[in-house]
Amino acid sequence: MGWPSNYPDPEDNDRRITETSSHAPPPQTGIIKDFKVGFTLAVKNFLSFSLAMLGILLVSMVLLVVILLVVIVPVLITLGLPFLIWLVESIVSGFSETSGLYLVMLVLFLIIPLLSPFFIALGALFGMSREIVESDGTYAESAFSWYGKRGLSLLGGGLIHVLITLAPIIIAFLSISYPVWNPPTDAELEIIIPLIVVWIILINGMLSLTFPGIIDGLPAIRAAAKSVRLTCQFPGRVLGAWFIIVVIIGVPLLPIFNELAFLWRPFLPSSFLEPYTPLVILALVFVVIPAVSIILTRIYMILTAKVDATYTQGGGE
Amino acid sequence: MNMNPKVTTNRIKEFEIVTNPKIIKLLLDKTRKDIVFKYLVSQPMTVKQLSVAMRKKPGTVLHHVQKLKNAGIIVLVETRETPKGIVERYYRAVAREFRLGISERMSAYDEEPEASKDRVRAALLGLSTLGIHITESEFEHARTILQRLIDREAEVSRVYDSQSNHAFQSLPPSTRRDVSYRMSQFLLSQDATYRRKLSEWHDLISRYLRKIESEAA
Repeated sequence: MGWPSNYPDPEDNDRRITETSSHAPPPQTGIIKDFKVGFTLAVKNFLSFSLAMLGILLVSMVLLVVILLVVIVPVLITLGLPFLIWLVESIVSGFSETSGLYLVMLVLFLIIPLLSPFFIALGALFGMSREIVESDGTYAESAFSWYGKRGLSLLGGGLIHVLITLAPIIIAFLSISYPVWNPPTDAELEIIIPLIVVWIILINGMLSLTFPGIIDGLPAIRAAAKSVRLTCQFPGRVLGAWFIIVVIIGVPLLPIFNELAFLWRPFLPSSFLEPYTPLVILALVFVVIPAVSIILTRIYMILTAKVDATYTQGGGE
Repeated sequence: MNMNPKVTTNRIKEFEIVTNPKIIKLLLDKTRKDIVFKYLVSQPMTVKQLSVAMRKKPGTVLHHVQKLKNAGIIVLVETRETPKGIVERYYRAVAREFRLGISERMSAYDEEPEASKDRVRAALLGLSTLGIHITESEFEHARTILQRLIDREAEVSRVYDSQSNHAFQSLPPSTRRDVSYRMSQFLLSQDATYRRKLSEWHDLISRYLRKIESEAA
């Protein structure tokens, strides 16, 4: 006696496909399906995702306030208010008056803790996506369940992302700030900034399967290593999907950050930016980011199954 | 009706002895116990199917399934992509039958020495329910004899009831008990030390039984 399947299967149930099989679908077909399925499921679960996003953003803000209190209160008690004012002033006064090493320390020990709640929140979304990809449904409260159960590993995953992403940038920054501060010119920045962007995109693409790995039960470091390994084994599928994700997220954001970051001519007149900005941010937060988490989770599950040779193509497009 | 995949590449083991206390604790949870013993020992199933069958949220089932997978109680046997794009993972128990280490320890020889001593003492005191009240002066002597008998029985049973004897361990529990009893009877009957101790035990019990008979007469 067998158990009924959730979905109608084709007649050829035993057609197993591994990465070496000639029956494997071409990568492009896989990527297109990843995005189609990702956005379909994100829209289908819009309500659950939206409620979860609101909930975890709220929790993250509360956590952020708690972290700030944990950092600021001991500083106030031990070093006093004047030190805090001096600290803020020294940051505001600019890079030239502060040592490079000091600023790096600030990034590592002040910015990262502030980002921590958001890493966990993002990871919790991947947990919901895992439920959707594996069982075709989720609930808003699931996000909190993942938040609690995988919180520390997700935080570790986020820290790995940030540290690996920032490492060469920090080294470059220290090299131009020691022994004397020697800032690059605007012309040099026009080359350096796109290079940094390429690095950030590439390395985060390679680490893009870290969160799905953590949700799958791996510790943060092993999940990151597995993500890099899967990217090396299936570069087309992982980086291909990642570059499309960067375009989908980056292109709508480009008019907002263009002048600020790239020093290029504005794409949109400033009068259009006013209604455009909130609409784009809402669409990104409530549709695109959930869809991206579904897409990456799906890719992770399929690729790990191919590596373990447990993958079967159950049906056609 | 479509069937779940019949995965035959890795044959399911007939039995698995679980001795790790953490895994035993893991299996004592009702939901996880049901997932393993009610469903996954008989066939591979997905999280979705388990959640429907158990009437629980897929997220809850997924958490339990991951814990069982990490503990090595269940394995992922197949990942199937459906026409809708859902990636179904089929999980199955690693064995048809699980025996917890604690049940093995019901035998005196696996118990801690102190626990075994208590068990012998309890057995001797329990004889009073049959009218055999062992006197205080003879109690230590009786305990020593019975303890040696049990120890010897344990030593003999280890000859055939080893965990590496998979054919024997895969027998149904009742058959295994019958085979074990017959074999131990034979081996112990060949053992001179055991026969001597058994004779001492019989003498002791006989004395008490005669006393009961004379009192009744």
